[in-house]
Amino acid sequence: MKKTNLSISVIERVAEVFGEVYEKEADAIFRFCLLRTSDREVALDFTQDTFMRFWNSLLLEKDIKNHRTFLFTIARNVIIDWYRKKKPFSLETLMENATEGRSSFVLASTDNVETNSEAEFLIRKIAELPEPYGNAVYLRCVEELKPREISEILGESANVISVRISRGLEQLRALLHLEHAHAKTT
Amino acid sequence: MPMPKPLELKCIDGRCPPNIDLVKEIALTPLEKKAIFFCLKNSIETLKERLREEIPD
Repeated sequence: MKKTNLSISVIERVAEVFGEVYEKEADAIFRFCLLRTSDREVALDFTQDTFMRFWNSLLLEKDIKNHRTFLFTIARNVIIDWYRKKKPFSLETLMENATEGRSSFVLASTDNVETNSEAEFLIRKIAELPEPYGNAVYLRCVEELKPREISEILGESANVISVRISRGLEQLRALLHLEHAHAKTT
Repeated sequence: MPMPKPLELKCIDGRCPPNIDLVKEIALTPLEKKAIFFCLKNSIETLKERLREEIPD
């Protein structure tokens, strides 16, 4: 009986921590899933799945040193599983949505069309970066994680991550430069 | 599809391009945020309920 009572008290304590972390990190995890899937519905499912796995880990009293890096690691694994199970046609989805005037990258906090379009454009360009650069650039520049934290998520050394960020940013600049040149000629 | 506005990424004092910050504006809508939390909370409540049922009167 004591074990059951204790379990309920653990659940209540864990639920409190969980609620705080969810409030703080849900948007970031969702954005990361959206970047990698280009599909809002899939990204919503993955966000939920990530937090459910996080909840289970809390319940098992796993030693989690950094909630943020832990969540990104789970999200990354969820996305990798998805890619393995079913090769998505995310680019096609993106094009279909664009053709139909729908966007997966709806901004929650602003109705400013120009900001919306710039943010959408940038996230698309980051999504175009090949791996191993895309995740490193995204996690550093958008989510502002430190190279050491990114190294925990991606399973590489911090030095390797720093190099990837630097090279990835060069590629991103090149992509944007090309886009700019293309826009000028058309 | 309308042509995206040309953007130039700039580094200031070696820091990351400032306009990348715009991507942070992409977020869950308040409704989506609540809906996901509601589903998760339901699972948690179900688990708690199941454990309570195990306690005899």
